[in-house]
Amino acid sequence: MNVTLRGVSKRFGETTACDSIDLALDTGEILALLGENGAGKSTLMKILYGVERPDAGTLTLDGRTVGLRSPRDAQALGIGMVFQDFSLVPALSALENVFLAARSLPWLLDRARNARRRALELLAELCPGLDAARPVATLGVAEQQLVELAKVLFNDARLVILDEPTAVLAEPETERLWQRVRTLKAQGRSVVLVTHKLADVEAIADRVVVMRAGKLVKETRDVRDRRAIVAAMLGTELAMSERRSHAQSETSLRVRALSAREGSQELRELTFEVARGEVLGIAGVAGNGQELLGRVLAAVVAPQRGSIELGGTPLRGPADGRIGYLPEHPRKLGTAAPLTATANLLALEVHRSQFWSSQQRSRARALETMQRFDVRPCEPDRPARTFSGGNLQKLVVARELGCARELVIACFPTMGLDVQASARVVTELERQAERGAAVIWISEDLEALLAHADRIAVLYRGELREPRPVEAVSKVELGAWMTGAAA
Amino acid sequence: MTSFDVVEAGLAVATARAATPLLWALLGETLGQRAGVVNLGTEGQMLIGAATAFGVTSASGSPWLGFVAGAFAGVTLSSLHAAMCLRFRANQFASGLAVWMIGFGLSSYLGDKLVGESITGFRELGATRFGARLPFIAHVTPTTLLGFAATLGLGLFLYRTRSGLTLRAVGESRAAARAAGVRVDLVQALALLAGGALSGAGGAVLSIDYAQTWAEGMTQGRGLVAVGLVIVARWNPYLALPAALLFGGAEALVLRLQSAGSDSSAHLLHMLPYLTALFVLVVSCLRKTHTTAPAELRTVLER
Amino acid sequence: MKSVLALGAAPSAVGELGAWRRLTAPNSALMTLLKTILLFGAASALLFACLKRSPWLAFQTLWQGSFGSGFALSETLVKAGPVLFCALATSLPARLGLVSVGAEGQLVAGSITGTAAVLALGDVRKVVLLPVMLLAGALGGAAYGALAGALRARLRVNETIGTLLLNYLPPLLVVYLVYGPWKDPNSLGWPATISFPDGARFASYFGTRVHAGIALGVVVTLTAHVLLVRTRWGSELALLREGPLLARRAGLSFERAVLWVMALGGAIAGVAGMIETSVLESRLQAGIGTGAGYAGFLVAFLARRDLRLVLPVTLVVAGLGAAGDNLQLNLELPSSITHVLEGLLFAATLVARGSTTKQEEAS
Repeated sequence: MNVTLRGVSKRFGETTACDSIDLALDTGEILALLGENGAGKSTLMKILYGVERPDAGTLTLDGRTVGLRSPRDAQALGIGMVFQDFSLVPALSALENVFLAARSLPWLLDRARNARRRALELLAELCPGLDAARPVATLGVAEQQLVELAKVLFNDARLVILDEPTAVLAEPETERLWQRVRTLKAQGRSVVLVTHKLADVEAIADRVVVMRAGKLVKETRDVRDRRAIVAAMLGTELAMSERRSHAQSETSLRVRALSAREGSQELRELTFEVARGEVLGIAGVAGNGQELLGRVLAAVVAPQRGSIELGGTPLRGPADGRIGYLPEHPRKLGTAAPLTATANLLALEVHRSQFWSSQQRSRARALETMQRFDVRPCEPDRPARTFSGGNLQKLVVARELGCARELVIACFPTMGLDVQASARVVTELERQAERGAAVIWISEDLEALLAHADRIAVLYRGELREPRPVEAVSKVELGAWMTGAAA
Repeated sequence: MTSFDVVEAGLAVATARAATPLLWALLGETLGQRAGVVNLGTEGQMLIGAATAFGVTSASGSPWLGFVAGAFAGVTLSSLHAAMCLRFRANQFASGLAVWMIGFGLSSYLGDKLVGESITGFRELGATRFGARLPFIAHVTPTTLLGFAATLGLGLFLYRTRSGLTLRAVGESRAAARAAGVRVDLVQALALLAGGALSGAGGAVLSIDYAQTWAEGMTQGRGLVAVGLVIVARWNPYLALPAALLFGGAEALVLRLQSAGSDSSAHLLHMLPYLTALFVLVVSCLRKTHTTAPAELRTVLER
Repeated sequence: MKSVLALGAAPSAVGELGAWRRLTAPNSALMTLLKTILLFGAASALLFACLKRSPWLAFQTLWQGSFGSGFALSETLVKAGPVLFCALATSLPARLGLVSVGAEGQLVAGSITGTAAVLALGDVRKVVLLPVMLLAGALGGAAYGALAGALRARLRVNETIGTLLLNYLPPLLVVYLVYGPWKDPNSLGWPATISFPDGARFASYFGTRVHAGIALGVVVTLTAHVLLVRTRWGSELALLREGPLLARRAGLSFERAVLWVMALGGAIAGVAGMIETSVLESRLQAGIGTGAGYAGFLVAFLARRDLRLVLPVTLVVAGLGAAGDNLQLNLELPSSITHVLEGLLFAATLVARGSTTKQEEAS
């Protein structure tokens, strides 16, 4: 399918998400749409898929100008999209999910024998060994993604849009995905790959287009020209800095045979130690137990077996100010949205506060903290939910890292943040380490971990690989361990 | 309070007939909850169905006409709940309670002049040539058999048709259904309206079949029991039948015991059906049934 | 997740808009109130028109029956008592985000235990009997409330469905007691307990049925308001409701709070039940307090998060109920119409708030 976007613009209130974008795509071409978070790539694709309507511009498919009012229109024209947050219904089976999205199907499903056969064949081709009758919630993330792809191909999409597909995949699964994409190309379909990872671009793209702050800033067929591409993405050259370790000799956190289970996540007999002032990085693809580990260490969830000792004393239940915890979704898990900023900042001490609360004193304290961490707007009486994502993260960081802690747990702390905000969080984490806290940094971002951690361990399917000093591992090794390869 | 002799009919028949009004309402509420919406107004819908059906049957002499009228009345009331929840994003519990109040008051008004009237309701199938020879069928009315058929039909609809799949998807994940191009609000509204028809029909069965009389508030909480029993039936329409029979059995038992030896302790027995419903609800929740609840409903029921 | 009783933003002192602009902004509380009144007026006018009665006459009758005369006002106040208590019994759990409709049953439970105390103690001095009776009522209501709370806290039974089902049990128990073990052998025809001794009676004032219970209700309401807004307890409840993860890390237990709050609410409703029993007929009989629980729920819902608003809203809702008899007299409408009016008021509020929220989302 030939696709041409001309002069497409979209604004959300004050922000311009897309600024007069011109884009062209050939039949059988794999185009990478590259850019940092917030550059406008997702919005542009949502316009292409009919989820958003552009304020200006035209869309031409195979020579015909079209106006899309909804994803249904896009699907009818042969456009399919695999979202970053999957749009699968967890309780339904893979087959049912494909049927749900099917463009045409007999009403009585018992009569849909042909469709069923075609769907099962497609699923088997994309993901051999998949049990199409089990609820998709029981499938691994990589399999779920392939079911999403099956949905799109069942409707015979001629243009397939993949939104950040490798965000949740490990190395071998990524390679499998690229094989499928090459098959799509061979079938004459066009593919748009939305990503912020250079590795994706280098692996699969025919052509790359770079977006920054809503504008299209570069287009090239030379997908290996790293330096130029990164410069276009960030606007500046990357600067690497040296790091000094703050690790002391005294052990602060001692974890022995820790086992826990919550929902689909599990931890199996974890044993490790963290010294005072040390930063331990725990790498792993999301879904292998990281969130659970964060919650167990923060004493929110009780482990089934094993022991945790902090500074020599066992950790059980609320730890009264010794622990700072940055959860993976600051908005959902780290704040009480309708409560004021003041209430959020002082939340952890509420049971220790005075019986008759003094609003003035609380507000003054909150004001001072908010100024220190540059939370904007600096109004303590505002409900937390009115703050932007970045400022909310600052609020959470202010509460958790605003005073010296013995143990700091950061769970995907830079996820979804732009470069500046990430840097701020990292600074605070380093500062805690400097003051002697044991810092556990759970992340998927290997580059960040290698740059800032003293030791790195890998969490895979609930088991922890022995932590190794950062100097002694390479990205390749880590990647292999993250997908279960043997030591 | 029944139009037939409970003792003479035998426990099985009495159970089936007592269960029928609840079964209809249960099926209706199952549809709604499967789509992700709770409707506490079911009680009001049953009441307005009962009053309307009784009035229409009394005026026209035809129980079938009354039955249909009752269903219509239920649809009308449920449309209010649908509008408030879907168009105005009202809290589902609050909206249901408002609908219940309106339904209760309107049914009382409509039924005000109907108190004490008598009608010819549905006749037992034994009166027909076809049914006279069959042991169980002879003593039940068409509404009971229709109820069984509706159970089967609803199950087939939910699990074996495209629309049923769509409805289940909406109840599990509005976002995913919307991404698949489904008009989510429309599906939920239709589910609520169908639920209104079914619960209105259940009320109709109560007034023109089971009791063949009208009294203010005569459903006495059956609509609310239905809301709870949907959870017990794990949102599976096929399981609605045993759930309704359980409640019906408790009620039939109470009536038999009451007619057997009546003294004040009979009043204690009146608590039995509600205790039964509560008990099975507790047991269901103990066995973590809530994990099998439609996901969208879970966000409504658990906070 | 938000409780049905706390939709909308927390009161805040954002100083950007002037006070007047804030008040008349499309999403302000005042605008919502005006919309509610308009919608309710329109809907009820439509209702009366459909019932072939003059809406204007109907509104006049309603006014006369609720606040139009000294007698009407006194009847409104009498009705307001239990509704006020039940509103509190709903508002307290709502602070935790619980939607409890159990005031209806807790009220009756309290009247049972309070009556048991009266029957047990017999003719004792008022100074002793009255407080004991009220305390017994409170305990009964608290126990019944805690039962619903335990079902929610331990067994994850949704509290709305749970309390609704539980509501049916105490009235049936009353019927059993009043026909059976507690039956007054001298009361012919209408089953009830013996009349309470003097020590258990609430005095009424001004030659009407108005009694001190209402004053008690006002005191309890204002006390609760102060405690919730100015003390640590209020902050803890807010945190438990809006930030459960944070609350857990702060050492607060949701389960324990549920039990406390349901028990407290139940106690308040139980006291109301006992007061009603003592004042209205001075004996326990079937049909005690019917409807006060649901009216209380409506009041709590309308008043949202500010407990002080519960007082005026109670008067409005109670007035509506008191006017029911007037409707019967003047317009020959059965008093059940007041249920429809209550439901319409409820619906009008929901629609008004919903349209406001939609405007917020659009802007």
